[in-house]
Amino acid sequence: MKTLKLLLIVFVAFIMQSCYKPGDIQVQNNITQVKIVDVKWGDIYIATELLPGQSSEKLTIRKNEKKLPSSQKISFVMTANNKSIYLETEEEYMLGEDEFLLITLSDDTGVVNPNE
Amino acid sequence: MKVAHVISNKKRFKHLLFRALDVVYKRFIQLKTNKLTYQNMKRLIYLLLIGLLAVGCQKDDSISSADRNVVSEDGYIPFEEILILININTTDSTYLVVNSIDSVSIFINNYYWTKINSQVLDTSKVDKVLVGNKFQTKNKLNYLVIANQDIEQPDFNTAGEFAQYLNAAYELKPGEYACLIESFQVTFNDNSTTKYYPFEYTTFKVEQNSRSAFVGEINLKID
Repeated sequence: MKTLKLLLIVFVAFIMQSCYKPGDIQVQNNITQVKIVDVKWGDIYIATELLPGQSSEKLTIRKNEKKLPSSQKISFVMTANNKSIYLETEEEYMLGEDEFLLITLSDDTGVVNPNE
Repeated sequence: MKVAHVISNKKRFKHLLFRALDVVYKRFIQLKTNKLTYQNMKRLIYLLLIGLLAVGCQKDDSISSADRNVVSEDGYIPFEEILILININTTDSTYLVVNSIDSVSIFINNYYWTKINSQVLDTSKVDKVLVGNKFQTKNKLNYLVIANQDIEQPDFNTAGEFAQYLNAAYELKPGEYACLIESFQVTFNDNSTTKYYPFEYTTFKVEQNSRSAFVGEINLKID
């Protein structure tokens, strides 16, 4: 009976562990006249640099990077005129398993600097 | 090839799974456990097995996203700061001795640049005399001001507002500029503070690809 229970636990654990489906995420920079660098979703690197109008590569979030579903803010360094400022979106963006999330950062996107 | 390999692994796994179940089944018969409990368990195992077979799971690789995306920056050197040496005459031959010159208000080509304190000096070793509420010395005493452009944190709420603000910042491209010391403040020996407005202009040059520019020595006078 003990062996059977153990087997059941192993089954359940196996199903829970192995059935993770990755999600895809992409960020587009639609903010006027600035480039954004070090773009992250939570602590996951999305892109090194995005010029105005440019989109990042579609990035697959795997199990070892972030457990999905997960809701994270986008953080980036906004650069223009040789000046930079670190910003985070006010909104959190939710990515679920087997989903594709396209985040468009525009002039109207609510952002904050944590030092404020 | 890769797909075939995955399928082959799955088949092998299922085969091992069935063998394991078979072993458990036989062992239960041998132990003559409660039949009802055992049948329920058996059904549950079959259900789990069907569920397992129905779900196709992917094998994840372990390459981090940072490794895939990080690229090196280019070699551009942005202009960051201007350096100024300020000395303050109390008379024609004596100089003011204080720990620092405070709130030095600087304009470049009439654009507000910053308001900043000079670097603090340890004046304990300076040969000085107390005249009224001021320490004075006959040796010229320069105070270093390292002036980064003051970009105040705006109370903005959207990315567009921040972008507009950054684009409005005054950039020093290579060339000649005029530096204005509009005002400064000193705290004397008796802790009294006085603000002065010298309106002293000095020109300086910004070189190509340099992160700073030396404005030079500026002599200011106070009474």
